Amino acid sequence: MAENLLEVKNLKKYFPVKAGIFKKTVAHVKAVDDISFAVKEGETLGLVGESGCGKSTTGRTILRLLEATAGEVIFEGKSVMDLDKKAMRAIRRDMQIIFQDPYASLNPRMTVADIVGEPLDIHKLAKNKKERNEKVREILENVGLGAEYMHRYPHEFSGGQRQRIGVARALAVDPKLIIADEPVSALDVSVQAQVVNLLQDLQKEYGLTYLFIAHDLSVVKHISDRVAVMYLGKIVELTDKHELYSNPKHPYTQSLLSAIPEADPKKKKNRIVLEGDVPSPVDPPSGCRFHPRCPKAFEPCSVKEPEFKEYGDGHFAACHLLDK
Amino acid sequence: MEWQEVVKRLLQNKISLLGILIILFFIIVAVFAPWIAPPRDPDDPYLIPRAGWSIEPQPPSDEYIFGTTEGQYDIFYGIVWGTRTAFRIGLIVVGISTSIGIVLGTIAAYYGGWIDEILMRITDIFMSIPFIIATIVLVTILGQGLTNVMIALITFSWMSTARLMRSQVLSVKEDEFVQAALALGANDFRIIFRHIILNTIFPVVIQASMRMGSMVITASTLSFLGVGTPEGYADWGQMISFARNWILGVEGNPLNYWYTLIIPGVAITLFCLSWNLIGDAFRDILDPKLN
Amino acid sequence: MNKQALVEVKNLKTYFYTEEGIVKAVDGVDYEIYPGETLGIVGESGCGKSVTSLSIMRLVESPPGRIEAGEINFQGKDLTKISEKEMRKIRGNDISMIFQEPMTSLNPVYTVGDQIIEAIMLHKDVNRKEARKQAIDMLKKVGIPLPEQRVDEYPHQLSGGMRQRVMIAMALSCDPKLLIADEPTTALDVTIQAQILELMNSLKESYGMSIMMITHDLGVIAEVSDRVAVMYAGKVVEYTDVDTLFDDPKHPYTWGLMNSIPKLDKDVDRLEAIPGSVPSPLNFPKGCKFNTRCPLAEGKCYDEEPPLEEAAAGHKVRCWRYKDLEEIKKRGERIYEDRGVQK
Repeated sequence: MAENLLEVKNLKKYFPVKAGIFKKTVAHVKAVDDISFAVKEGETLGLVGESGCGKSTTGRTILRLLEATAGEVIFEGKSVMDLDKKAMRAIRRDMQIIFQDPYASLNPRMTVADIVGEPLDIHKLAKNKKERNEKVREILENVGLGAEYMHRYPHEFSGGQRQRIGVARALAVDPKLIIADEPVSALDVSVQAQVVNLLQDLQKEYGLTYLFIAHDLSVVKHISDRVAVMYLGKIVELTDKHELYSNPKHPYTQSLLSAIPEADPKKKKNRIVLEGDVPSPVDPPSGCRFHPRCPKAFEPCSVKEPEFKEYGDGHFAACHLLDK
Repeated sequence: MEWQEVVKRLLQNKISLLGILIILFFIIVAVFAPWIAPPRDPDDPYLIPRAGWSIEPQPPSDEYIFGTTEGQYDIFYGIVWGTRTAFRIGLIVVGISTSIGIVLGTIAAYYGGWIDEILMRITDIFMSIPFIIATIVLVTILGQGLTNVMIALITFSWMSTARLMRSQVLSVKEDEFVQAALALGANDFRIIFRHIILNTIFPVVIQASMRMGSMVITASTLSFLGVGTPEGYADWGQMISFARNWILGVEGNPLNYWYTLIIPGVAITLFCLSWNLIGDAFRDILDPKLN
Repeated sequence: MNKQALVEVKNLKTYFYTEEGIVKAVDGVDYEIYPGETLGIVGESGCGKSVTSLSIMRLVESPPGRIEAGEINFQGKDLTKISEKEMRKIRGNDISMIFQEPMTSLNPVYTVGDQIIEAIMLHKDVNRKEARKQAIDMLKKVGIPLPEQRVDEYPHQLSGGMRQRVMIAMALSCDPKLLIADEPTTALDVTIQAQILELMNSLKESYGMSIMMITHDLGVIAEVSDRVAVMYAGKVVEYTDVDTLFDDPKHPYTWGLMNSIPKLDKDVDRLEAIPGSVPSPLNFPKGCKFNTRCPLAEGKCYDEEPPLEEAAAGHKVRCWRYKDLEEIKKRGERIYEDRGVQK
């Protein structure tokens, strides 16, 4: 059994909602509200959910790009939340991020060599400019970009190539964990597969651990070992991907799975169409957050919050139905 | 867009090319001033030589090709050496005040919170004082002279840059590439200089080039109002202030002393115009909507 | 098919004249839409799928755009030839359109009711009171709860899914014969997307209209279309009914698209990634436009553009080597190399 590389315990991230001339905090957006999970060394954990469920906030809070409201993040046995600025900068070598938008995530005024070389400069991983450029060339080749691109600017590349540059930048520091925040959703369909394959190849080659955040269940299922499903700031289900797809326990997971249009016209699915929209995270529903939309809700759901617990062999879920 | 590309486009644009040519002309005049108009006293070249002691201006002649203004000050000499003054005022005032604005605006936006609050309230206070009155008062307190004029202008002209810079930084700060740099472990210094300032500087450059002209005009205004450079100092504003009593000409010929006003007026206008042309062209080139 | 087509697009060419050169966004496209059917148009960004629909509506911004050649026959009229006045009568009345981002297509300063009422009164001879009644009725039909109340709300008060429903209500308020839906669910979450697709399917049946569904998502295509046109680089590369397309894709691009998306019910170790990226429309390759990315490309593919040829009954494909692809498929091999390394 592999060790846990990353452990997240009771993580919370609330954003204050300010109003009035004195900017008084009138409410909180509970973007991430008490979630716990662990990522094992060498695995890919998928984090899936619809927009506003808090999946991206989770990723950024783990990296302390956002400061957590409460909770713990333990990386290689060390608590990340207690580190001071300097120690935090050092540990960033081991935890990297790939962003969704390959246009916004690259500095438009830096050449590819400078973008990919920057992490080497920051962590002083190259003795001189020549060595640095040598390393940059090597990394670029590893992500499928020729060295002839080194002195070009991001705007000269297509979306897929830019995403490769983003991957190269994350790889440059030789990290252990990469948080991939919707890395393919901004790309064209035919290019998505290139990046997915690349991420898989790199994982094998470098023994990387991924936290793969996406809204697209099919992609998450393809690339992940285990999958966590988020709804309104909570993890509602977490298990092995095959188990999740063959035996989803939470009604939200079930409807999410059935909502995906499949590229097979003959398969007419028995679809569970959810009523209504996702409620606001400022004032989430009482009890189970899913109950107003849940087709199977019963009495306790609106009153008591279901506990997130294990239902046999690493299959976690939070639903009252399972205790009935 | 890279610098080379911007420069290329500036040169391709007819309007900005005109601006650049005018400025080049002024630069040449300023650089070669000692040869174009040799000073009578090399230790004090900014003192305009006088052709005599009569008060009445004299029209252009072979010796004084632009004529002389009130008190027989040589207009040609004043214009040539005044070019140097104009550049000194423009570059120093705009350079320093823009730098102050960049630093304050960046700090306010990057660190936010109470730092932002304090810096922006100070900016508001400075902005609430009418510019001309504030500079006149400050020059009066500090005493006449070019240096004090520049100090006054700097003191009351950095605010717009600070505000512009702050709003620029606020938007770029949220960009993912800044987050990416943070995630790589970059320190504040690197993030600010390599990522934020490089991506926010162009609008400030545009603004600065527009302000070059207006600072020279304000300095001239101060001279015209009598709180600027000391009498006889080579400064376009002062040249115009000499013309004040002669604008109406003589009875029957209102244009009798035209050279006292028109010549320095043209110099100031061309100088401001050229900077504005460049600023305008800059803005068009850098406006993402037009690309 | 013997039925009379509702819309017949013939050799449509829409070009954009830009500073950098001529962008041939749509470059010779043919398709038909029959009454009561859904034609799916699928392709990646820049393939010209949206521009074809804007050409039908004559909403291509001009300049820089221009319908260069071709015919769009709708009910005996060529929409490329008629006057702007006639076109205005057709727009919103016989043909309506919904877009990807409902927020930008609704005017934020008017209530949703006002906007639907305006659409109704523009095309129907009714007074405001009657129009309001019809508007509320439409909102009810598109599944908006409490329509009497919602009718007086502003767009920003509604969620994305609700706004798309309002757009649909507005588009259907004049009983159009054709509804053009340009990526109507791309901006929505999956559970909301499911709602909207369900709604569109049921409305299609009750209204008996035709739908032109433009999307990049093969899942959506499979779900709603009767026939499909696959577009690549301004051309239709494959054109057939939806079952045949998914059973037996004949163009290597279609094949690549289908195998590059992971499927929920099937596990594969690796996806078949189409290498490279879509060529710039300013600089399309000579010959077949897919030749820069096609593993089967050879000699002829680089010199001569293949025609859209009938490969089987009702199955058209634009490829010189579709028969070779057939052989490869029979052997059960993959055609795309494993790693999508750039050329």
